[in-house]
Amino acid sequence: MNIKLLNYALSSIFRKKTKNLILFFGLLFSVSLLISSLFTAFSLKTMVLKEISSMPEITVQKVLGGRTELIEKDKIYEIQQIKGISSVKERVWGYYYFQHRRLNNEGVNFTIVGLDLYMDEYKDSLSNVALKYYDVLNDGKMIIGKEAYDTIKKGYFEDFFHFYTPEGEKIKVDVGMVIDELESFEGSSMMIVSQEVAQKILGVKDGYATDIVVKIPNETEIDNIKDQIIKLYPDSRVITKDDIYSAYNGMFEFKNGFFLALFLIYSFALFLLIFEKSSGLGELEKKEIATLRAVGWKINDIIKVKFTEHFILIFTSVVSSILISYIVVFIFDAPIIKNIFYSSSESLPPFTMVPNIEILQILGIIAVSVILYLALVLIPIWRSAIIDPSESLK
Amino acid sequence: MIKIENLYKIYETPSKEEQIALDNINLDIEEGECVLLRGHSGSGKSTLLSIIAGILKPSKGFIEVDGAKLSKVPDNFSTIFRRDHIGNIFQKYNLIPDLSVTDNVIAPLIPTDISYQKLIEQGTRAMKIANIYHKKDNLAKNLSGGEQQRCAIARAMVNDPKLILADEPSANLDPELTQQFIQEMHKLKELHKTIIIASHDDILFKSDLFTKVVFLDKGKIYDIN
Repeated sequence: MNIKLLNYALSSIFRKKTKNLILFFGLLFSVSLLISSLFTAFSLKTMVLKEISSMPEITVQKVLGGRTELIEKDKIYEIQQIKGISSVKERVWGYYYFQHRRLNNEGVNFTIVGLDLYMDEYKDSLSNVALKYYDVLNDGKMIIGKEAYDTIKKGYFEDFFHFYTPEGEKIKVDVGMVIDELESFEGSSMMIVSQEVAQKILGVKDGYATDIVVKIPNETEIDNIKDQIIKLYPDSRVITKDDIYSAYNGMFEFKNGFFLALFLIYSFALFLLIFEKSSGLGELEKKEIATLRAVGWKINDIIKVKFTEHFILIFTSVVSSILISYIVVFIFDAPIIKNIFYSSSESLPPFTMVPNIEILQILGIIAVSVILYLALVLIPIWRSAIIDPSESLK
Repeated sequence: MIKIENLYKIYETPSKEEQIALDNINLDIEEGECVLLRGHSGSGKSTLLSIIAGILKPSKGFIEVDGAKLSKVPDNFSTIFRRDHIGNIFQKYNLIPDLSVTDNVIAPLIPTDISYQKLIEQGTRAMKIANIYHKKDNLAKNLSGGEQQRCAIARAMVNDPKLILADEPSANLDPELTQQFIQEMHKLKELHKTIIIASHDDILFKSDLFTKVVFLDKGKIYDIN
């Protein structure tokens, strides 16, 4: 492109700075809203699915009258007899509700995990923690996620934490290690203790566990083994990894409804901006186009200049939106937006968003915004450029 | 320089009726001539000027300007021809208000391949001819009426055209500024430019600027002096 035409396009942006600033910030707001939501949703989904991928293939729970009960550890031996299973182990875990006036009386649920050496029944990240900090657990101390630690500190605890058993007994557990390496939202709320301590805190009687997990090396065997466990224990609920995937996917599918609403708002905002532009060029702009045509600019020259002018405007606003969204979501931890996407019946302590971006989705938004905007804005410009400019001679 | 034969311009009204704006125009203008198209409002003088400029196409007939048969060429060609060979001075000057005088003057040549340095040289020369160089950095919207007109003259001169067209140039000027405009046109005449001015202004009519006066009424030439 002729450099002089490019200069003209740039100067044109600055000449109409008030109008262009309003347009720029309008686009910036609507595109940022959409992209921040996309970043948040995709990051959460990736974190959740990553967690699930390292979980055991089958979880067995006991159900009584539709409610989950503690399960007898004896069942482990019978399940182990089923062919195709590499290991069966019990797990002790649960939620501990903590409320304090320093937290404005808004309670949070910590996830208590009972972990012993060589336990790989939760997920890879926890197995690594058990191996790395076994001494801490062995000393009866706890390993606590960074965010959970920040929460108990607000309640005046620092080196220890007081748990109350269901019977009302107070148990003091020292903080042995604060870790930041469990990067998921679940890890951030986690308190890891030895299985013995977890049993006390959660009130799990000897000979019982929260659930039993089954590891199956051959994925094609999972459904068959599930059926056999149900046959063996009709009072059990057998959950496969796929079931958990589906549940979480369902949750995110539901969130997609929110997305759709957001996308509609975004489209509407974009439409309004474009409508404002396309419903008629300002008199000054029309006159400028007619004058340029009359002094010898071809229609093509005018389209080139106006295309460049508006491309710079929409492209910079979309790229700025992506940068702002990245900062809001991954540096300032997606305030407000995160709560919309991650609402649970169990309130959890805050967690940090980990950068995960679905490039194709972002490229799609850029393409749709830029192409739609340019197409609709250039139509009235083209219409104005093809009109006989003789009127401007008068 | 300009040869017009049996030229018609017919518009179609919204009610599908034909409205004849120019009716069988025949006119020859030699190089270096200064011509006044005189007539009342609606007489067809602005339409004739637009056809000479290549902005409008005739409905019928023949027009040749400086060797280019404008009645037969495509729109893009007449646009380029206008840019390279014709200088236009519009009634309301039609400057771009937020551009400086220099940027307004060089605007016609921005899409060309001329280097920026050469463009500024041509702009400077045109501004000096039109006596507006001292205001080169001012925004057009801040100029007085007379200065705006001199800026419009400079823009018409930037491509060093052989032919200069002006439509009702004195319509927004007081008698003093009209006299100034006449002086500017005298300077261009001395540069051997062909000048065509459409106007019904008596001050212009009575001036000694013109070598030929063409009287138009209802789209027809009824007299040439």
